[in-house]
This record gives sequence, structure tokens and C-alpha cells, in this order.
Amino acid sequence: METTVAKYDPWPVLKSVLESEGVARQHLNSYNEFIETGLQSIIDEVGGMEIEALGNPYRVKFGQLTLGQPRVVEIDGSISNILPVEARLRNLTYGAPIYLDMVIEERGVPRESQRQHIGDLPVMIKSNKCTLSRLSPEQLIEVGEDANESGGYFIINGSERVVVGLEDLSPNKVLVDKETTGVNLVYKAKIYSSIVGYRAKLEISLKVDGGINVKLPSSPVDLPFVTVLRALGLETDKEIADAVSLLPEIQDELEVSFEKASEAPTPQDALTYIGNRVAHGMPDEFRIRKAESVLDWGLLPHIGKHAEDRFDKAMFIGDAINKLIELKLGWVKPDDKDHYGNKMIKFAGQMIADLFRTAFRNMVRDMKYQLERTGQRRGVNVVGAAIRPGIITDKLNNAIATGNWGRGKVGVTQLLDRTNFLSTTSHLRRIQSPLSRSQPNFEARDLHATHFGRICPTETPEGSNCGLVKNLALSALISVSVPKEEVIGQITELGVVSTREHREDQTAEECKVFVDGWFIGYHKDGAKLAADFRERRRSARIHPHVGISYVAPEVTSASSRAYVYTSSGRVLRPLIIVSEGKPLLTQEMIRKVISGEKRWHELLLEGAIELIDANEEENAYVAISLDSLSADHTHLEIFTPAILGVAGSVIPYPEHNQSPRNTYESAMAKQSLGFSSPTFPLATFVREHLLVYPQAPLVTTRMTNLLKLDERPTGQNCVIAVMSFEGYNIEDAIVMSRSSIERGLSRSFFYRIYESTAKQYLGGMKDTFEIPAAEDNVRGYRGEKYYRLLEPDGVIMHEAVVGGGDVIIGKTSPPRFMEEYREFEVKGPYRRDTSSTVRPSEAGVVDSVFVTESVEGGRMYKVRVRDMRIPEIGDKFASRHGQKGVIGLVVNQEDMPYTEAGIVPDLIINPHAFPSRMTAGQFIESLAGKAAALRGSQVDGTVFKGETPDELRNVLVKHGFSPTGREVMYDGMTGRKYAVDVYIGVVYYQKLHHMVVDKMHARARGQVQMLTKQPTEGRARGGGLRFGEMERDCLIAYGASMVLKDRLLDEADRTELHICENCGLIAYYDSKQHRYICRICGDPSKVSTVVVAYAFKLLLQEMTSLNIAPRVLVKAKV
Amino acid sequence: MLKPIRCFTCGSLVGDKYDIFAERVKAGSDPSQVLDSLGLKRYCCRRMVLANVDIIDQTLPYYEFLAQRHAEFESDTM
Amino acid sequence: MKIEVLEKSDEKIRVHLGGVSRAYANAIRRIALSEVPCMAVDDVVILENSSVMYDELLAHRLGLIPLKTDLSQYVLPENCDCNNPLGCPKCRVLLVLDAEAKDSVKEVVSGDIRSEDGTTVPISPSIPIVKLAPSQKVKVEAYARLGRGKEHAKWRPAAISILTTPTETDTEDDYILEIESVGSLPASEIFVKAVEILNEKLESFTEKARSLSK
Repeated sequence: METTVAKYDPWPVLKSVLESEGVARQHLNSYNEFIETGLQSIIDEVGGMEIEALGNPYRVKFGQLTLGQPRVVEIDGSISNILPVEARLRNLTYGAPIYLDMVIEERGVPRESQRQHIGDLPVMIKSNKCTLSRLSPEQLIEVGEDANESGGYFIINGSERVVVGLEDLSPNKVLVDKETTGVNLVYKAKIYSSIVGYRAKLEISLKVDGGINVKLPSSPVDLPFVTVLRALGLETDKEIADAVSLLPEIQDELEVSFEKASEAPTPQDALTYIGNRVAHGMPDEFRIRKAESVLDWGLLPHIGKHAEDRFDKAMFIGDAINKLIELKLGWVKPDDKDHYGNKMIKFAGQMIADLFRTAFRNMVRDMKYQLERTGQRRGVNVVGAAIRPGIITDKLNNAIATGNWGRGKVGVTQLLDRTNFLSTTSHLRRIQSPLSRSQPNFEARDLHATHFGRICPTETPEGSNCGLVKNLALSALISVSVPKEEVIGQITELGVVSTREHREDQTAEECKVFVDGWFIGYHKDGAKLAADFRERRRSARIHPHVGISYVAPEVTSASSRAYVYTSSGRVLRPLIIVSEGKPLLTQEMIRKVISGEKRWHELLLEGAIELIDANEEENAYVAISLDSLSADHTHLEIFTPAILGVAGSVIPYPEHNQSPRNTYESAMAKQSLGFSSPTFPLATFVREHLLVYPQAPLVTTRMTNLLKLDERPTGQNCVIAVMSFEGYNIEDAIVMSRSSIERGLSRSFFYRIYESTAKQYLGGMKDTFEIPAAEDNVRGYRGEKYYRLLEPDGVIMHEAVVGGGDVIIGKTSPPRFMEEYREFEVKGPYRRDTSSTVRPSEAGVVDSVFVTESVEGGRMYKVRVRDMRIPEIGDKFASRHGQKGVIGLVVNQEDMPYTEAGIVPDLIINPHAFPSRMTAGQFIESLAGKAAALRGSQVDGTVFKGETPDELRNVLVKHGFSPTGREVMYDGMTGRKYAVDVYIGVVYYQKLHHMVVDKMHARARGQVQMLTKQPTEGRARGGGLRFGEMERDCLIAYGASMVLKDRLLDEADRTELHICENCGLIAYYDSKQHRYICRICGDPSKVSTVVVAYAFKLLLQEMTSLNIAPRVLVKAKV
Repeated sequence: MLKPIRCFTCGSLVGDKYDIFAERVKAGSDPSQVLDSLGLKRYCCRRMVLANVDIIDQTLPYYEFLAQRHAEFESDTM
Repeated sequence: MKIEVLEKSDEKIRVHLGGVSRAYANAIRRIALSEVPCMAVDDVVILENSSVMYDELLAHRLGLIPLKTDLSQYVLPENCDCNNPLGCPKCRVLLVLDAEAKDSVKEVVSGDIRSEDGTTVPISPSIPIVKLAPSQKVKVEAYARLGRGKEHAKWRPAAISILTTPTETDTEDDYILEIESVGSLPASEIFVKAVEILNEKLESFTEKARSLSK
């Protein structure tokens, strides 16, 4: 019977989150913040430049920055606005010009001002600057763009680049830890203090002797903390001790430190002390100044860089030491580095900001140099002429195009994965950790409790990157930064007293309040502060992305702290607020979300749900479901399946699988063929696949639909029988029905783009598209038959059937060096054949020919070749449960087993695939698939929330099938009934892009490497198959020495070497004189010829070049 | 691309049944019964109708706009 | 030996075979799938195709359209005396498809196919072949011929062909053969033809055996 009370299901809220935010929100927010405020603030940091011109210096002041529309400057100087499609087709960069107001000031009086173009900024697709962000889905189609375009990437020279999210330790936090150096236990507090573009690490250590030292980045030696605090302006010992703690237990621990610092009793002495160490051997005056600059610039720069900030720094260090001593006393536990509250993620905006800062400064330096060189001439025009926009444009483009960020940071950007729609979406939500992949970093790779709802527990690569490359969970949102001043104002209203306020009644129990790692002040009751703060946030008086967490001490005497975070890059997740055991998100609200009256953002402002970062979640008690809700709970999960990421959430019934199987599937889903974009007939991606008849999965998950994978599927529902078939499906092979294949199952297309551009060379020479003619004596002429398919314009015709080596675009180029030919060739220089040919191992049909113009103004052709791929033996397939296999046999329909209803399975997999792998989810999917087909609607297989196997069994029974999922089957070859029933059902199978035609390769003879004369390596170069060490061992063990010699010498790099028997060095044969000559021993020398590997000859010669005389001692063969 | 003509598994004709199915289900009929009435008894044929995604429908709008623009261009130059 | 027809319609036939060995009964089942000929498009000449669907896909789809087959009218190309690789009116039929979308999206269906002989037509007029956007055009000449299922699945006249053992009886050599036609041929004809083909095979085998003993 139907229950009358509707089930409380807040899923529509989560759906609304993803629908309105999109999958690439984190990139877009980050980039938008950068172009709206970040760019200007970088300009303002520099401010302007002083031009030291002789006589009357002047100043160029930078003013307002503006960004133009994405555009291209053609070779003739004309400017036209472009859309991403054009950029992709013409290999352009989708970028917008940056204009900056420059004011020329003389003696502080502004003279002239002009807006100048200082460079081009790559524009993120769908960001606020991108034209596409303002278009409706219909308009997107009109301009030739995918209506489901999520954006979040760049187009540089026509290729799509994603700035992968970079995980980093969050700055300005005191992290305390125990370390053992040898036998000694050392307590350490580390702080990565960072402000825009600058980061300084501060380390405070408490050694066994009880002394506490501070390690500054600019100081070669550790400094006693008392001295540092004193130098920062705390005069008396009491002030210093009080800065650490008011508690006698803590202050007692400082005794040793005070003793050690006795040589510098005053702030002046302390500065001298520091100066002596940071600027040893310098004049007195300079040492003091150096010490001050170290304190202001090198020490905790995030607090400030001025003398007046020193007190705040002292307070901050005092608290860090307090925490350190609390750790020593066992009052607090070491901080967990892997806690996600201690992490932040940098996206495109922050990454490009770093680049832009250096690029802009370079440009300014260059400008300054040029202006100072020009000397007396001045004025807007001179300033304008001194700008080289290329500095910024090239730096940005190069970095994004290569992923090379400088300072050893590589792989920051990646080519957007367009294998299928899912892989694109997943790629945009990827997070990379900067930790080395060659080191174990076990803890960093582990799944952490704070990943719940933030990072997908299953989607991570195997191998070296395991656990370091992560993916955002569906429920994860990335915070944007909120102006700090506003938040400080709010907490002051809530009763926070500044650290600078001196109070006699101050106690150690007061809660210390930090905003973004800045010690702001004290509050009497931290818990109340947090509660009041949250109250304000829930009533929309504070930005929802601001988080507060109150850390109450486990030991009463330890200090309590409250942390407020306003920074960007924290991973938030939405939760339903619970009050007195009741969720504040009501049924009525959910109903309004379903009907579209409300969006999730309104619920956020109404205080029904809120965004919680990992730190704040430490204060929360979250109920998993409504049933388990008690009065103690503070929050309720919205939709638990959203803890998975994109690839993880397409797996049906993953909670029934062994967890690594879900990880394998997360990786394989990204390799499966499907339907990546509706623009496929016009797409110019270098490689692309298309599944001809994709099907939506019958057993689906709610997220599959949300991620639009029902419209852009990546597989087909196949009838799968689990049984052995003549041994052709052992070891994970699969047997496929020939009829199914012939009817179009798993048929796919593979596309490859070949492109060619006509370039202009110095001296007016240029490339021409033409059919190279034999009579023109073109260098590298391939032979007439290779050009047979070209049309008069030099380009191949549509629908031409091409094979490996056929020319697709005929092109000739001028000779490389004009002089080179004069000596040898009377007729003058010849043109070279630079045609594009089909890859040697590929074939297909010419699908489309795109003709366009490159930025350099040359004609550009892009030719797309398609190849129909019909499944064959060796093609790889996988279900959604990490069960992969290759086709082992294709069987005629009449030979296949059949059920009593006459169904012949499409695929037969071996039962041995299951016991050790424990992918029970696939069995349930099989059952569910059958039930779905029978009842005529999709089955919901969402994690934790899917339809239960029992419900599915009822469906089967209702339609006259066995509830076990098994059916009676007959052997097709004999007609005999099998002794046992066979498990058969419908399972979603994915064709993976590893296909035999792309891999199979053999060689009898062929190319050799130039240097070693050994066969080349790899299929693309027609290489040989390596006969490696282990293979060699086999032959030795077997005693097949002739085979060994044949493979390793005769058929590899056999050479004859002439050796002088006298000196043992290499001699040679002079063919003019018909005799052997040894240049060492002179004429009367006996030379004999030996057969060696060319690599050996090379070794001898290389050694000779190092002044070593390797002598070969030859003996007569017995 | 477009509705498969035959059931992959058994080869019976399903190509002409997708639209009828969609229509009747939209009108409120029970999908299981509609499938039965269309003669799709086996689950292999039923899944063809249920799971099909016509990707050509997502692609054609681009060509519609193309044709539209072409027509506009023609009328402009005329 | 006994044959009892349990169920018979154009689409489906169910026969009770008694006193027949399983090998014999299964041979009939298998032949019904793989050797009974029927008509299907095999050669497609694409005169014009500006649709999104590629030529090879269009040809594949045309091939899969089940065609009404009159076995008395046509012979298998390998048995035809015309010896013409292009075929003759006895062994092939020309089907023409010429469609164009004017102002709106048009779904080209099997009903748009015109057949040379008027009898070899798609079994249903509403099988979608391709969808055309405005101003796209498809013009093809398709040649249908008889063929066997073992060559390609499009020539399988039976959707299912199964041999089962009735649960009531215990006796060996007691089978139910069920054949469901795709629609090209009536189910009973597939059954009869399958039996005939088997017998022909056996006869020619007998001939061979006899010639050996002579």
C-alpha cells in the first residue's frame, strides 16, 4: 500500500544546486573573481613607475583596468570579435585585450592620460567575459556551440586547456606536530604565512631542553623566541609571558627560553641580536635595518609589512607558542595536515593571477627601461610606444598552452578530455595535489573523514597518482573570498575585544578569535560567538561562504579558539540546518524547489540550508537520514549519494561492490565511447569517437540524469549471460554474438583531424597547396599513386576512401636553405613536398574538409577522416562495475545458447569474473536491467537509495520470470538443455577506446635508428618488438644460442669492424688502395675483420672520445 | 544516431515502434502494457525501445539554423 | 515420426516434433536461422547524401530493413544463371529512395522507398531511415538480393528459432520447435523451407555416399 505521508526527500535541493551552479562553477567563480577584482589589485600593487629621466623625472601612474571583448587581430590589422567555435576551428586563442589607463604625472601633477593596450588575457569559456555566458541554450545552438556547454576551460591556439584545481595547504594556520629527530622528541609549530604572490614559512620548535626557537626564512640560525618577541616590541618578561598565556602552567615552560634570551634584555638589544645573525659582519646601522626588515617582511607577512603590525605578530607568535606548549603538556593533539579544513584549492583565477603578476611586472620593467633610454621625449605617445603587449600575452598563452607555470611547476593545465561527455565533466572537477608522486606520502593518499561530501571516495587513478589526483564530490562547492573587513566588523559587534585593548580582568579562559589566521581578539564565550555568528549568516547578514569553527579544548585549562574563514578555495558542502530535532528545510520548500518556484540559493538565504567547510563541520553533528535525527543533531544530510564524484555516481548499486572495483570503473567510464557533443559533424578535436547507437542505461542513478548522461550516454544495454562458452571467455574474455554486431551493437566511429597551414617565409617564399608533380622534381615526392585522391586545389575530395600513406593535403614548401643547392644542383633550388598523409596504420573515409585562414593569414586546411569500427576480437569492453574484458570470440547466432523465450545473449561473460572481485552490484544491475525492460521504465540504482533487489524480484515474478534472475538455457550447437540454469539479464556495457586495430602490429624488416642501427621502437614508427632481458634469459636457459645470435645480432645491428691486431684499435679499409690501414700502427699492420653489434662499435668510439683507448684483442677462431 | 531498425539481440523489427510507444506513454498508458501491445514480448526488444537515444535529434538543430542562415543569405543577395 | 502444429500464424509457428532425433530437430532450428534465404538490401549506390548520417551508416540501415520476400520469384545470386556480378531481374531488385527536406526536419521512412517489382517492399512503411534537416537530401539506389543468415544477420528470416523439450513428457526425441519470423517470410514457410534445405543437404550427401560405394 502507498504511504499517505510523502517521503521526505530533499534530493531536488541538491539537484537545484548542480543545475543552477553547473559543473564548472569552481573554475568560473575563481576566474570571474580574478577578472573583476584580482586584475585591478595586481595593477594597484605596482601602482605606477618612476621614470628617472635626466633633469625632470616623471611618473607613470596606472589607473583603471578594463577588459575588452574576446577578439582576434588578423594579419591585416583588422579586429573582429570571435566566439569559441571560431577559435577552435582556426587554431586561435580565445582572448580579450586588457586596457589600462595610464596617467603621466610630473611632480605629482597629472599631465596627460591615455588608455593603453597592455596585452591579451585568455578568456575562460562561459566566464563573465565570455560571450557564451550571455546566451540561452537556443542561442548557443545558433552559434554552433553545445547547449550543455559547461565552460571552465581556455582555448589557446585552438586547443582546449583546463587549469586543473591545485590542492594546497591553507595559509596562515598554526599547525603543531611532534617530530622525532634521532631519539629526541621535538615539538614544532609551522605557519605558512602568505599574502598575494608571496609566501613565507615560519617554524617554531620546542626542543627537549625546553628552549623555544623561531626559524625565519631569512635567518640562517634559529632565534630564541623571547628575543623575537622583544624585538617585536614587547619589553618586559611579563608582557612576553602574557602574550603566550596567562596560565602559570604554561608560563613555567618558558623558563629555559627566558634564560637563553638573557643577553638581549631590551627591544633594541633584541634587534641587534637578530641583526647580528641575519646580516653578520655588516655595519651596525645596516644590521638594525636588516633586522627590522626581516621582522616586517620576512616574518608573518600576512599580518602586515609595517612597524605598526609588529604587536599583532607578537601576539600571533605568542599564541602559536601557547599551542605548542599545550601540545607538549598533552592538552591538545597534533594537528592533522590531511584534514580538509587545512587545505584549500586553487583554480584558474588564482593560478593566472600568479602568472599575470610576474608578466605585468616584467612588462613594467621593460617599459621603464625603454622610457629611460628614450630620455627627454615624453608624453602619452612615447609611453604608448614603450608598451610591449607581447610580454603579457605570450607569457599567459605559453603557460596555459604548455602547463608550464615556471619555478618547476609543470602540468598545471591539461588538454580537456573529450572522450565522452562524462570524461569532460569529470575533468573539469579534478583536483591535483602538488605532493611528489614518487614518494609514498601514505597519509596524504588516504581517504580522510573530512573528504565526506567534498572529495569523491572512489574516483582516483591507480598507480603513482593514486590519492593525489582527486575529484570533487557532486555536493562540493568551492568558496569565494569575502571582504575580510566586513566580517571583522560583524564579529566586533558580537563582542570580540581586540588584542590591542589592554585589560586588567583578562583571563586565560577567554576564547581567542582568528579571522583568516589573523589573531583579532578575545571573546568571553567562543561557543556563543560561533552560535551568534551562524545566526547572522543564516539570516543572510553574513555571506554564506564565510565559515566559523569553534575549537573547544578537551582539557579545560587549554585555550579555546574560534576561527573565522573568509578565504576562497575552501571546499564547502550544503547541509540542512536542524533545530530541536526538526529540519528547517520543510516539505513545502522541497515542493517549491521541484515546481521551480524556488532555487537552492533562496533556501540558503532563508536559512534552511547552509554551506559548511571542513573546519566548521567539526562543530556539527550531522544526521545521515531523517529517521536517525535526534535532538542533538545540528544538521541533516541533503542527499548522501552526492558524496560521490561525477564518475562514481554513474555506477548503479556501487554499495554492493568491493570498493576498488568502483575505483576501476571510475577510471574506465572516462575511456568509454559515447556521444561527447552534438556538434560532432563540425567538431575539430584531434581525435574523437562516436558510438553509433548509444543507449541510456536501463539501470540508472539520479545523478546520471542530472549530469545529462541520459542524453549523452556512454554505452549500451546488452543481454548478458554468465556462463562459460567453449573456453573462449576464460581470463576475462567475452564472447559476443555476431548477429548483434551485424545489427549495429557497439558500432562506433573514430575521427582524426589532419591539418596543414600555408606559411609565409622570409623573402616572399610561401607554401602552396597543390598536387606535387613528378616532373617538377619535388624533393620527397612520394609517387603518383599517393596523390591520386587529391583535387586540383591540392586537397582530397569528400568521401574518398583513404589508407595509410595516402596524401590528404598536398603541399609544397620552398627549400630550407637557398645556398645549399647551388653547389650541387644546376637547375636551382627545388621545392619540398610537405604534404600531410594518413597515418601509416590507419585508414578511413574523408569525412569533412574545413578551409579557413590562420592568424598568420595563411590558408589552413583541416581534414577529418572517419573510420567505422565494428567490434572484433580483441576490442575492449567493460560493465559499470570495473569488469573489463576483450572479445575472445564472435559467435554465430545459431551457435549461441538460447533461453526458452528464444533470447540469445549479446555477450557471454565467465562466472570466474565474480568470486574474487565481489562485484555483486553487477548481479543486481543484471536483475534490475531485466526488470526495467519488462516493466517498461528505468530502475533507480542510486547508491544507498536505489530500488531494492527484492522489489526487482517481484517485478520479475510478475512477468513470469524466476526471481533468481536465472533462466533455463539450451546449447545452440546441440539443442541440449544445460544441466543448470544460467544467470541472464540486461547489463549496461561500455565500449572502451582501446581497440585492436589501433594496437596490432608486426614487422619483418623495417626502419632502424640512425644512431644505433637497431630497429626503431613503437608502432607508429613501424618498430620492432623488443626482445628483452627475460626473453634473452629464456634462450640462454634453453641453450638456443643460434636463435639468440640471430635475434640479438644478425637481425638487429650487426656490423663488421676492422681491428688492428697490433694495437687493438679500429682500423679501416681503403677502397682506393684496396688494403686495410691502421692509423696508429702505420703500414705494416695486420687487420682482421670481426662481426660486432653496431652499438658496441659506438661504445668503443664514444670511449675513444673520452680519451680512453679500448682495445679489442682478437684471436683466431679455433 | 537514429532509432535502431532491429533489435540487436534477436533481430525483430523495432524501428517502427519507438514513436508509437513514446506517444502512448505520454498519453498516460502503462509502458509495460504498451510494449506488450506492440508485440515486444522479449526483454531484448523492450530495452531497445526503452533505452534509445536519438543523437541525431540533438544535432539537427545546428543544421536547421544553418539552413535558416543560408536562406537569409540567399534572400539578402537576391 | 510425428509432426503436430501447436500454433500457427504469419509471425509464429510452434510445432511438436515426435520421434525425431535431437540432432535432426536442432538442424532444422539452425537452418531456419542461418540458411533459409530472404531478401535484404546488399548494394547501395549513394547518388546524393547531404544528411548527417554517413553513407556507410545509411547503407547499413537500409540493409537492416526487413523486406517482404517471395521465394518463388527470386533465386540466390550464386544459383542464378545470369552470371552477372551486377545481377539480373531474377536475382536482384532495385529499390529507390529519393527524399528531401524542404522547410522543416523530415524523417525519411521505409514507406518512401520505391521498389522495382512492387512486391519486395519493407514489411512496415514507418521504419525510420534517416532524419533530414531543411535543405538536406538523400538519393540512393539500393539493390536487394536473396541471401543467407550465415552471411549477414540481415538475411536471417527468423527472429527466434528455438528447440525446447516439453516439460510434461519424459521421452527423448520429443521436441517443440518454435520459429518466429521477422516478417519477410511467413513463419510456416521458414519452417518448411528449413526442412527442405536440410533434406536437400541430406540427399546430396546421400548421392555422394552412393557414388562412393559404386
